[in-house]
Amino acid sequence: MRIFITTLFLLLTAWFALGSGSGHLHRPERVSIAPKDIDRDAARTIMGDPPVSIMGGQSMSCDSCHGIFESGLEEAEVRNQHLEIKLEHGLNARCYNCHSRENRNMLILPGKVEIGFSQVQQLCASCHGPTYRDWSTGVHGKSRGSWDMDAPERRLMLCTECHDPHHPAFRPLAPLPAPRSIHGGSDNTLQTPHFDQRNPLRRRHPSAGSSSSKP
Amino acid sequence: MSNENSSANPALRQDGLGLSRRSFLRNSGAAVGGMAAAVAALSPLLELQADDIPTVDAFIQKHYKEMDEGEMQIALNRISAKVKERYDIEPNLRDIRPKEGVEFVYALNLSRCIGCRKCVYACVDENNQSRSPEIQYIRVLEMPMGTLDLEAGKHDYDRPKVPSGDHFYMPIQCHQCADAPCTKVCPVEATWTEPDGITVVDYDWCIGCRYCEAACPYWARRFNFSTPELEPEDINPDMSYLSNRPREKGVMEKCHFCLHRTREGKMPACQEVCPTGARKFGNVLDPRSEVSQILKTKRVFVLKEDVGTLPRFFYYFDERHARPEGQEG
Repeated sequence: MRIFITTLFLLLTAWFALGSGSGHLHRPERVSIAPKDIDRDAARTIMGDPPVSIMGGQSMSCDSCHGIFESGLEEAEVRNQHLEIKLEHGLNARCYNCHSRENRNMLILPGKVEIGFSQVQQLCASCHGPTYRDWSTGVHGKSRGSWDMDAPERRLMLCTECHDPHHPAFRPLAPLPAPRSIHGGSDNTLQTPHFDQRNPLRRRHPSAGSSSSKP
Repeated sequence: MSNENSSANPALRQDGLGLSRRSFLRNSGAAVGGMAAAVAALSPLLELQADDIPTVDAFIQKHYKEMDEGEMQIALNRISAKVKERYDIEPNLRDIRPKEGVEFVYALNLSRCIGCRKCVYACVDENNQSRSPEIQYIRVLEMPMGTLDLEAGKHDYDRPKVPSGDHFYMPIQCHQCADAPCTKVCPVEATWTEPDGITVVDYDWCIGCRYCEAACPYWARRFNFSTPELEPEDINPDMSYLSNRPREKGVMEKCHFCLHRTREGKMPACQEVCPTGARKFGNVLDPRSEVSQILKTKRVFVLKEDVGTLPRFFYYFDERHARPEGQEG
């Protein structure tokens, strides 16, 4: 009997001694995220006021061309310039709904009132009233700098800093990687029948599938 | 040993010490085994790094609330020195106290969230969480349209593009409850709610019992099962005692509304990175603030209202049906 106990003791000793090195957590390879994917200053580059673009090394305002050439027709799709712009703004499908025909450095409100590009929210507000109401109190859109309403660095982002005015809907984007659980598996383990049986909420729920009908 | 072996009939012979060969072998075997067991039990000590052993300063450090200014400075110096030694980075570590007349509240517009998970990783980038094993404060649930049953949500959705047309996305992080169950169960008061509404953890006081993790109805607390893995280039040197200073193995951590940023007037990292403006943060005691306006004008709700934790984290939808993919925004 003593021999048996001693042998067991020695075996246990050997097991602990040899096993002591294997108690480390398996560290999965880390996920690397490109800095541009979590760039907190990301925003659309918007036109200045007056709008300027670089052509042939010179910075030119829109009207320095459009003031010379006669403006095109009302229809959006009759264009031989700016072909990269695809206008997908719902029913709002004409250039001169928003751009002033007379002065291309300006936008134009429905009442034929010209406004600068930096006042673009007035133009958007002429159709998107509730959204403008929310934006002006900070409920819609994004604010920058500070949560403190009195902080000088606090600023509401303009409509066009997030939305492309020619395609205002947000374009779908690729999600960053899903989390990997510390236990080394995916969260799919939570969906196994085993889990369902242990979880009373899951069993009660009608969408829990076949496992819910079992007694 | 050789003397014992050479004797002719050793089994019954007693020597001067009253020791038979059998009992000698048995006892010496047990002694060797016992020593081996002791060595095995102590072997983790061999893996101790120099900075795993607490210094005298660390050992006698008081609870956060009991430290006076001088003692806090000693603690900050000690932690800074440790960060410098480990990561070769000079941190800007300080203890930032709550502001008078400020109570932080978060609001999240579920009509706008697209489930891109940028907030998850901006948070990790800001708050010096372990990269492997991963510790993330925010998890985003992909929920089928038409239900708020969290059991139907999926954590590990993976699609080429989000949002999917027939789901909405629900990020969950610490709700900074006004009646927080996690702080009540802590046996050592290592976690508590600050006057500005942020529930914090003193990482030097936490004993790692994980009661708070079990008590939290939102699964907001994370435990460091192993020494956090961080490379020097991962470290954000802008740190505070109660928020994002590097943690040790065996302590709890959680979202703290980026208090090292927000107590100095800045926005939390998750709000700054959100590409759609779904995340709203502010001072609920200021009636002009964004969150006050949201509470006033939107139909907000909280998660698991029935458990009575009074979260400071509100969800809302815009007053219209969610749009199918690709329609006008």
